[in-house]
Amino acid sequence: MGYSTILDIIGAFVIGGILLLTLFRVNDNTVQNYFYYNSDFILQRDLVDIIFIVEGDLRRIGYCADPEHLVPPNQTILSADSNAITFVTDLHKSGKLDTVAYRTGTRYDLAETPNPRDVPLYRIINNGNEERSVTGVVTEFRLVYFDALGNTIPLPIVNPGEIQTMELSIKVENAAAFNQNYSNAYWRQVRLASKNLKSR
Amino acid sequence: MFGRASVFLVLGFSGILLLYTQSLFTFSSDSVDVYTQYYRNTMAENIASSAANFACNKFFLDPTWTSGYSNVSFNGGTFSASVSSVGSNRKKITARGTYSGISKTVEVIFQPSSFARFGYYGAIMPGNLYYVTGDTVSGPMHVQGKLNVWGSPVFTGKVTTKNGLKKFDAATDPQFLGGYESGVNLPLPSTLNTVSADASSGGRLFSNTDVWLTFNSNGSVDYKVGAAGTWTNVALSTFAPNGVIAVEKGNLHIKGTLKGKVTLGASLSSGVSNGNIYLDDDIVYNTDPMSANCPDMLGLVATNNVIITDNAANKHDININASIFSLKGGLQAENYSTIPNCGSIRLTGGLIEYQAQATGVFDPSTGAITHGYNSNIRFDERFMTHVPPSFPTSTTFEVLTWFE
Repeated sequence: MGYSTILDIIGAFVIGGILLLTLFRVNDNTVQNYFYYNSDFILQRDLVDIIFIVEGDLRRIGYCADPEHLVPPNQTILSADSNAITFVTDLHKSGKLDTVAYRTGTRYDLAETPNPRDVPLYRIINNGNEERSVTGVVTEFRLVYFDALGNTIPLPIVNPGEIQTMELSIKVENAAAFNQNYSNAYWRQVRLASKNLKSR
Repeated sequence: MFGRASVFLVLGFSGILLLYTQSLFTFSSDSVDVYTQYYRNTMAENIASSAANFACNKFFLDPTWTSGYSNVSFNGGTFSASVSSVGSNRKKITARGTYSGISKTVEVIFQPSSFARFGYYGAIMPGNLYYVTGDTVSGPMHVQGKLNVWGSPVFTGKVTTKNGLKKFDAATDPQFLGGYESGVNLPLPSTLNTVSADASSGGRLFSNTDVWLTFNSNGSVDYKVGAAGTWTNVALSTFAPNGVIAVEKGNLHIKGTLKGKVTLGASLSSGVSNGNIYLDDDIVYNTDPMSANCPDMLGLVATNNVIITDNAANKHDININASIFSLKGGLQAENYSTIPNCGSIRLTGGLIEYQAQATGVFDPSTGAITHGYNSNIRFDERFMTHVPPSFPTSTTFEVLTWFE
């Protein structure tokens, strides 16, 4: 064991150290990318699930399986705001009208999540007596309303009976992210109409 | 030794990176799958909706159409549709669309289109009669001709006309808050036979006489047959179980507070002296019609006119809760040009008339009524979905509910 052996050991340490640092960096990137793509997938799946529920309900505004229990079209939307809507529909095709409300909660409802923008989207059936569930977690749930001529109805909506169509935008972000690099998914239906709203 | 270790090291790193890359590809393809699933669902819904629209069009053109569609290729998928009866003269179209293994169903229920769904219907609009600035018409409206407008009258419901608009000048700008459509042909029926037929089977039919009816808030009615007849009190449910009361070749004289759903008809006239309904005083519901739970409903169906009687009771306003249908005339005030200013006609319901009739005279210099009545007509929105029994219908059907 001579001078060259010591050099070999030092060289091995240096090369090993570089390899170790590279490994740490690769691992770091791997975790970040894995987290990002995994949460992105979950996010998109959540968004599609939310869309199926919300869009399905909104397309059935004013519907009732038993025509005897129908209410006039201009009385089917009970209240409407930029991030909330309450309407009547027959959810279970039972011939009995239900009151359905969508509204977003506050950031304090999800204070435990690192994302500062996410809020729960509540789906409240029959004023909460039957069901009050969180349809999903969103960072944007925005409604714009239009009258029969396609004109935007300004907020606040004084007469919900004027509403004929609406635009619905939903944005979701993941609740937590590596380095706060939140992925997001966005969906917009530019003209969503329930045919039961139309004046016959 | 170092060479072999290096090979293992490279192989190990490569293996780890391959697994990681595969995982990323899996997430990417899963994400695409999610949107593909949404796309397939949407396509299936759109095909089902298109099938329902095809079937609706067929059905509107031919109400006897029942053959439906079976396994028709459309836009990369297939659809089927069927027509069935669901009672009360209603029909149901069930349309099913299939795309890439996903099926969606749309159900549409139709009913004969009732004239009661109009806030105002006019078969003829006199050329010198205009809707002007300050006029407001509530509820759906149809004019089977040209609609004359001057200035900026407001129409809150959907307006349809057969022959379009006649604007007084270029500055005329009517406000159609519920939309406007021209080219819609919706003539009045030729007869009121259905009312008489339903009155004779399950209701109450009188012939060749005048009949007086006073409705009571307890659900009963006082009636007498002929001017010299004696008054009799009877429960409405006994008097006319199906809610249809009519007189042929005679006139009806009515007033009171109605509890229940009733249609009163004066049909089969042999001139203008009969086939009329006279309003001897207020005729209102037991429950406020603007209340969401009002169960009361009245249809007044006359071959000729519905006339506000010239009597003491009607000298200070008249309140009417009903959908009024006049086949050959309209709503008019008796002796409108000679009686004093009697206030307002407050009609909550609808007015379907052959031609607008005079109800008052106004001073052109002041715009104030000098003789007769002002008119204040408010549509009863309940008539959009529910109508009085045997109220006249058109030959076409209308969509009642749409499920998708």
